[in-house]
Amino acid sequence: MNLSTRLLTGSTLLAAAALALGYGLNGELSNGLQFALFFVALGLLWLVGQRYAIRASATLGLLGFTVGALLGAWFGVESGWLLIGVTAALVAWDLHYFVQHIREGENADVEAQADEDVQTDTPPYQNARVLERAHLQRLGIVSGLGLPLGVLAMTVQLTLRFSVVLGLGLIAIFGLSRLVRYLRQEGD
Amino acid sequence: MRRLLLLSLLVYGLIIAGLATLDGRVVALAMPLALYLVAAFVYSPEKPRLVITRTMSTPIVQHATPAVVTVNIHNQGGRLEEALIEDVIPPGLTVTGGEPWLQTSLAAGGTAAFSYTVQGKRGNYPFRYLQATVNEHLGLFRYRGWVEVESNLMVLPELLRLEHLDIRPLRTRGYAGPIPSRVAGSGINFFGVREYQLGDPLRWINWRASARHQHALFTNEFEMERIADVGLILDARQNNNVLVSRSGEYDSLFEHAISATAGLAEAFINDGNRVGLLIYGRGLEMTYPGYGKVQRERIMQALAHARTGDSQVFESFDYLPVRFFPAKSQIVLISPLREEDLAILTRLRARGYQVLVVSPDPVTFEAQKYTPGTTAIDFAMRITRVERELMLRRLRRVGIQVINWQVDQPFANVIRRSLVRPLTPNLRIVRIER
Repeated sequence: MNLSTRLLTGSTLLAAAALALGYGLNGELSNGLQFALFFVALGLLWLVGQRYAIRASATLGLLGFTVGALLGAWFGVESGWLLIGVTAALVAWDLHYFVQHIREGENADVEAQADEDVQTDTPPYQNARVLERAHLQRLGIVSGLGLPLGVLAMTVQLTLRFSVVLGLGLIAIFGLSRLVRYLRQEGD
Repeated sequence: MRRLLLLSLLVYGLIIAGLATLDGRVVALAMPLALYLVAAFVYSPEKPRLVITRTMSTPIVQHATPAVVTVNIHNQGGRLEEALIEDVIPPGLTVTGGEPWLQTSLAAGGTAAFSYTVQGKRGNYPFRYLQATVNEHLGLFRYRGWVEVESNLMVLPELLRLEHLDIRPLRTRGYAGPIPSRVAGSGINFFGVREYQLGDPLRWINWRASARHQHALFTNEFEMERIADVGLILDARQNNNVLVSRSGEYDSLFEHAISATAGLAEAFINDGNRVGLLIYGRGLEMTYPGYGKVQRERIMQALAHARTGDSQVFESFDYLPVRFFPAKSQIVLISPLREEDLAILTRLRARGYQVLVVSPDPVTFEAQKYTPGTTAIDFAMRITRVERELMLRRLRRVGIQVINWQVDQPFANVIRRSLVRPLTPNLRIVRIER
């Protein structure tokens, strides 16, 4: 759990720093410093939310950094910073829920027992560690692939006709409707 | 679900914004998020096929004794990346050790197990469902379902240990036991003197009486000791129960009555008597008379299930099934009592039953609710106490033995004062004059 917690803090700081640097180093933006301070503040708020296990802070954090990255793209901020910021925010968002989920259950006991020098080869410890390792492995692969994929998407230039754009838009809407249907079924 | 919705909206938002502005960089920002979504979707779990069994260390536990519950899980479906199995614990039970759930990965055909300890008050606790939640490692797609696994845990009532109880019913049974039978024969206690008959042991001859007659010898007779039929009646009428709140938890006079009944039942059965139980209130819950450990278990289980009831039919003792108890046997009524019960108890006594009333004192019990010192409350208490004392006196006057038990006093002490026979009944204290 220590590793996940450290990664969570690190990825939150990285997301805030990437966007702050991106905005701060952008010479074209007159109020870039204010934006940079805003992202630092957002990152710190998210850290506070993590400290006090406030789930909403994860949602607000990911939403804030993604919208910030979107605006940054329009304001001409360096794309690399934006991509790093979004990926780091995604990792932090995932780990926020994961750490909280594990803490709510098994790890509450594990941490309480850890003070009493209890053997750490008992099933709760093993389960928590195995799950943590598997989760971090999956997250590492996804974010590790997502970043170069994003870079690739930025470098590849495609000229799309209006009909293709319209088609892609329709596919996106169709996908969204399927998703909503799936979520409704889940809710039932 | 909210996580999935948020992520999907962000991905679609970025893609649509990118398409709308024809800005590839915005679409590129959606890539890590989209990949995350796709990875979660690819590994989304199928409907799990789990076979779960739940076993108890013992299905019946004594009061304040923990029971260990073990849950075994066998995965008959495909691999489950993360499975959370939670046992639904019946209300009233408290987990005192371990956790009633397990979060683990389960390979196809794999097994897992977890155990925890529970403890609870008297009662029957049916376990029914376990909740199984499975999801992929990223936790976006999950399947949640219920698995029905029925098992049961019964917590027996608190047992107040009692010594041998001295009762004297008019009729006893044919087997040797501890109860004086009012019949001469082999025994310990002196019963009377009769003329010597051939075969009487010489040491039984009463030489003092024989010396008074020239041509006759007299022999001592002893009282036979037998077992008896004992019928326990537990008053479970809702109107007679008193509840007192203590630091957020309710203390019930009925629970004290149950503990007393359990103690009495065990003491009578340990003495070898034939004991039956009738719980009167919600209905007529009868445990037919019997002997020994099996009967003890039956009675304890009946008491574990006992609940108060407010049936209009059984509001008074008018429907007490007297024929349930053998004629002239010992009846023990455990009840806080109310005025209108006197008539039926008097009738029982008139029919030849030896009646003993153990009455948990509702006045003292309920007095805990009120702060003493208020004139009105003190006055009301005095009146109620006097009324109760008069009622108990009337019962004693018709030959009914009454034990007024203030439940904050140890029951064993109260019983010892009223019922326990001294171990050496014939031993007298003689003052030696010098």
